[in-house]
Amino acid sequence: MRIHERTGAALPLVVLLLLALTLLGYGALAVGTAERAAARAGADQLRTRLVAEGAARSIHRLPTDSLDAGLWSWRRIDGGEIGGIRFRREALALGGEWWVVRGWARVDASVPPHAEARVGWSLDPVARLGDRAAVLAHGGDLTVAEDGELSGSDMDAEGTGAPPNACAPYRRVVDSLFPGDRLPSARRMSGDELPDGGVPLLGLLGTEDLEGRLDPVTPGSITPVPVMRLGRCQDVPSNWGSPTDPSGPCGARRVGAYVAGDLTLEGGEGQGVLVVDGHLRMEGDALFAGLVLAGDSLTLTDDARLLGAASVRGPVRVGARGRIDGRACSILLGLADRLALRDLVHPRTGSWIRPF
Amino acid sequence: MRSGWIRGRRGASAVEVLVVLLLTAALAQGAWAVMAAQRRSAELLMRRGESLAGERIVRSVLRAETSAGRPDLDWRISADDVLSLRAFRAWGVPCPIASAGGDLLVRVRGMRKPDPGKDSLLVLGSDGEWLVGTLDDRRSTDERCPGVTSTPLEEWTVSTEARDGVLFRVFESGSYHLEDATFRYRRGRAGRQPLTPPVLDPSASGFEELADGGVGLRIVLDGAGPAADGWGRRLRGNGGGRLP
Repeated sequence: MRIHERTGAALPLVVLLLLALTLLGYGALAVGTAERAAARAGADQLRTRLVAEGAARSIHRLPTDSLDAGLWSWRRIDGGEIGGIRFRREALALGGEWWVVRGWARVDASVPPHAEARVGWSLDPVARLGDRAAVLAHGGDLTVAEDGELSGSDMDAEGTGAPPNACAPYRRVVDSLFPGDRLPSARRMSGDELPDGGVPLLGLLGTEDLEGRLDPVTPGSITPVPVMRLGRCQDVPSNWGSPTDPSGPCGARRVGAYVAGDLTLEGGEGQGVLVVDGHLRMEGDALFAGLVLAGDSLTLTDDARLLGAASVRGPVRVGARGRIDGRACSILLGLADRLALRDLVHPRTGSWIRPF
Repeated sequence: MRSGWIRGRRGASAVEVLVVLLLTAALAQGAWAVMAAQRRSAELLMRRGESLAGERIVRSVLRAETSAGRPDLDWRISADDVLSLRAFRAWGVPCPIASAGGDLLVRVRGMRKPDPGKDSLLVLGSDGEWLVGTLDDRRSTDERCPGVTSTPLEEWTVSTEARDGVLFRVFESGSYHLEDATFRYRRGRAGRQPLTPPVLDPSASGFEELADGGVGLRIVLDGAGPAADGWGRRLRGNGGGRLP
C-alpha cells in the first residue's frame, strides 16, 4: 500500500519530455550545422574556382625547359598552396608554338577540384627559324650593288659571330631545317603577309607586342660598341655585344632593341634582335648579327654587314661592299636570349576553353 | 501508528498531480511551439535549399558554358528568357602527321565522344583566328602519332578549312531557357529538359544586356528568402564573357 501510493508518473514523464526536447534541440543543431557546411562548401567552391582561374591567368611565360616538352604531354610549371587551397599550373604542347595552359585547384575532398584553361602562343626560336623562307624577306624593291652580296649558303649551326659550340644544342634541328646549309637569299613578301602598319610580324608578334617586350632605343644615330671594364662586360645601353669577339667578355651579350622611328648605325657592332619601325641604315663598318625587322626600308652602305636574317616592309638596298649573310646560329641565339619574346600571346578572339 | 503516517502525508498526491499536470502542460506547450517552429524552419530550409541548389546549377552551368565562348559569337541572348550558344563538349588536338588514309589523327578529350550527326568544330588556326568547320566522320584507330605512342587516337574527316587547325573544339548548338519557373536546356530542336526544380520567379527572372557590353543573368528565386518579394542573385558577365 505504501509502495502503491508512492508510484508517480510525473518524473518519468518529465524525463521523457526532456529527452524529446533534447532530441529536438540536437536535430535543430544538426540541421544548422549541415546548412553551415553547405554554405561553406559553396564559398569553398567559389574560392577554388578563383584560385584555378587566377593560376591559369597568371601564366605569362613558360619555363624554358617547357619548350622541350613532347607533343600533348602536360608539363607542370609550378604549384603551391594559397589560403588552404592547393593549386598547380600546367602547360600542354599542342604543336606549332601553341599551348594550353591550365590552372588546377582543390580545397579538400568535400569540394570537387576545379580547373581553368586557356590557349596561348609562345615564340619558339627554332620554329621561327624554320618558318623563314629566305634570309631576306622584303616587301619593296631589292637592289644589290655589283660588289654587294646577299647569301644564304652558310645556314649551319656554327656561323660567324658566335662562340664555339654556342649553337651545339640546335645542331641537329638546324641540319634538318637546312639540308646542305642553304636557304634562298631573298623572297618578296605579298601584301597579305604584311600587317596594316609597322614592322613585319614575328610569328604572332606585331609591332605593339615587340615594343612592349624589347628595350626602347631612341631614334637617330648610334655607334654601338662593346664596353668592358677590368675584363668584364658592362651593362650600358650602347653596348650591344661583340660578335667580332664571340669568346670575349661581351661575346655572349645580346640586345633586344625596339626603335620607334628611323635609326642609323654609324659603324660599331652588335647582336641580338633589332626592330626598327622606320628606316634602318647601316653605314661604315657597322656589323649586326641576329634578326632585324624594319617597318620601312633597309640600306647597307660601305662595308656594313648583317649576319642572320631580316624582314623588311619596304625596299632593301645593299650598296657596294655591303653584305647580308644568312646565319642560323645568330638568329637562334638572338631570339633565345630575349625571354620576354616567349611570353604567351592569347588569341584576340577568345582564349579560354573548357579544360575537360 | 498507521493513521499518524497517513496524516503526515496528507495532500501530497494532489499537489504532485497538479504540479505534474502544470509541468506537462508547460512542457507540451513548449514542445509544440518548438516543433511547430522547427517544422516551419525545416520547410523554409528545404525551400531555400532547393533554391540554393537551383541557383548553384544555373550559376555553374551558365558560367561553364559562357566562359568558354565569346559574347555575340559563341553565345547571345536571343530573347529575354533564352540564351543561345555553342555548347562545347570536347576538344581535340591533331597530330602533325596525317593517317594512312589521309585523314587527321586526333587526340580527343571531353565530356562525351564527338558525334558528326550533331556536332560542329571551332578550329584554331595557326594565325590565332577561330573559324567554323564541320566534322564529317570519326572513327577509332590503332594508328599512333610519332613520338606519342600511348595515347589512343581517333581518325577524323573534317572540312577543308579545318585541316590546318592546331586545336579543335567540338560543340553542339543549344539554348538555355527560363521557362515554367525552371531552368531548361534544349539541344538543337529537341525538347527542353528541366535542370532545376521549379524555384524561379518567371516574371522577374531573365537574361539581360549589360551596359559594359557583357551579358548578365537576373535570377529571382520564388519566395525562398527573408524578403517578401523573394530574393535574387545577379550574375554579371564582362566583355570577355566570363561570369564571376
